Amino acid sequence: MAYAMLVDTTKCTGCRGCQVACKRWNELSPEKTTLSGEWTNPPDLTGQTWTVVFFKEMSKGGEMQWKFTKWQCMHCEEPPCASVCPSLAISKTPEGPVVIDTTRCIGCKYCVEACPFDAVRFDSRGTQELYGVKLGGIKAGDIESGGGSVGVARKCHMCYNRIAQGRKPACVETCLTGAIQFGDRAEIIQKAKTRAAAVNGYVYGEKEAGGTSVVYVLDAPPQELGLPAVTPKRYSEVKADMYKSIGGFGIIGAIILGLVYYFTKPKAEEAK
Amino acid sequence: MSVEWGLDIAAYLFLAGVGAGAYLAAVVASRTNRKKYAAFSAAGIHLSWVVTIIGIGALFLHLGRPERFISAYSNLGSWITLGTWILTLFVGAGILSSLFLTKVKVSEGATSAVQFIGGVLAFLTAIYTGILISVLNAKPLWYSPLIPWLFVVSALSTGVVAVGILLLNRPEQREVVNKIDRLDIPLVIVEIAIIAAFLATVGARDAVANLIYGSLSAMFLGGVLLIGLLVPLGLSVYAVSAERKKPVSPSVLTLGFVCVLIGGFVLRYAVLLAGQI
Ligand code: SF4
Repeated sequence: MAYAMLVDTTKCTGCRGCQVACKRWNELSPEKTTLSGEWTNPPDLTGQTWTVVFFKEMSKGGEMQWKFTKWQCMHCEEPPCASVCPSLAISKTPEGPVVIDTTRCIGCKYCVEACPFDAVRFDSRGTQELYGVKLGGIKAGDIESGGGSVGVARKCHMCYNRIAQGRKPACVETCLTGAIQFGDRAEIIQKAKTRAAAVNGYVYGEKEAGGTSVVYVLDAPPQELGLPAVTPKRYSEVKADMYKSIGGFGIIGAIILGLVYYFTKPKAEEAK
Repeated sequence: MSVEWGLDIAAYLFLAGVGAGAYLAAVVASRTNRKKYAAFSAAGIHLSWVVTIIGIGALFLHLGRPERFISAYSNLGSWITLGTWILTLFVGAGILSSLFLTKVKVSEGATSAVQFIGGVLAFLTAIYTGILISVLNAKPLWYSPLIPWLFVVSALSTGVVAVGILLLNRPEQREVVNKIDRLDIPLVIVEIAIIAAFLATVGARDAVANLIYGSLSAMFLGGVLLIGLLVPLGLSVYAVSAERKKPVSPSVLTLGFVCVLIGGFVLRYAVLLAGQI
């Protein structure tokens, strides 16, 4: 069955319980952070932080309001990250999660560049210990047992290993307010639409990137909340469009070259 | 957003472009006039795979897990995989062509067959460095069909001048070097036209603004437009007009060639950075 996660931001209180649950279940390291003047903490996703609640202050009718947006991989139906991965290390599972096989990842970071939701991160901890010299790493850190998770791309995997046991993802189970829910994708989308209609809000994730396995209910337009505007096209269409245009310009270029050659040829012969 | 594709990838895209351009120019030149361009074409062929291998080295160091690089050959739907195959075959064809020119004696047919295949691979190498980033709609600045063609033209111009630099201290090649210098005029003009069209049509208006008057403007306007395009163009035009009276000093040509190379590298670096920030 294809599952999906519902993030109903209108019910989020910004407790960050999901961030903690994610770290605990996935055995991720804590982040050293500094006082930045921002409330989002840690400030962004990293190789060791797979979900983060963005804190945003917005004024509505002259009144200040907090907007909390939990962020993580969207688990696209047709994931660009998997499509571009040269090592076939990323796959979309039938249950919905998009999972990185960190034992195959070569650390090229193409997926980091390809993700339209900016949700994959390169984890460079400890690459110095691995090679004795600095190869694309930042600072020496801890190498997890197995070593498979160093110098590779990492992100939320929707707790596919819990789903396999018939359990819900760690963040879903820990959420106190029901802001994160889990279930059959079709039902989740239905729920999201009903809720969005009730709060006069917006659904995000039903159509973006051809659909994703994370669906949001928002009470402000996605772009106002800082969520990326992503085409409803699937990645295969996105690529096909680009190939067509590249070919089109190639033909135009060839015609121009041909004309230039045709008109300059007599001169070239004279010169000989 | 973090910059994960920085200097090392820029160096790699640039060097692969130089290698591809040098090989392509070498093959085309030797088809036009084998005798006259013998030195040019030999230098281009030798240079092509050497710089490409250096570029692959930069790419290799970029990897988080270089010891697993072999799995990069796996996904034929990925432009890194396609590129890895293209580069492997291109370097192979380059080395073979070099051997055929020097140590190994083979029939003329075999030489030109390898050079033809190598030429096709060189073209694919040059265009792939652009397709690699232009298929990513996640980076709106890169999602432009003009980037692959821009990189092809830039590969040609940087490749040709790189060979020019190798021939500079050989007086008997002066005529060929002058030709290279002259060839740069149309290439630079085409490059400027493609860059203008790219900036005008691409969807990422913030990134374009960043290149033109934001934090990257010094790099883009100074490094790419001025040093990489206008200065070499001016020097070439000057050389062509002055050459009628007396030969211009080789240092003028050297300066122009070095500027083209700097511009080619900065172009890739600026496009990479602007796409990611
Ligand atoms: S959101 Fe990004 S990381 Fe997640 S599946 Fe889509 S492309 Fe991959």
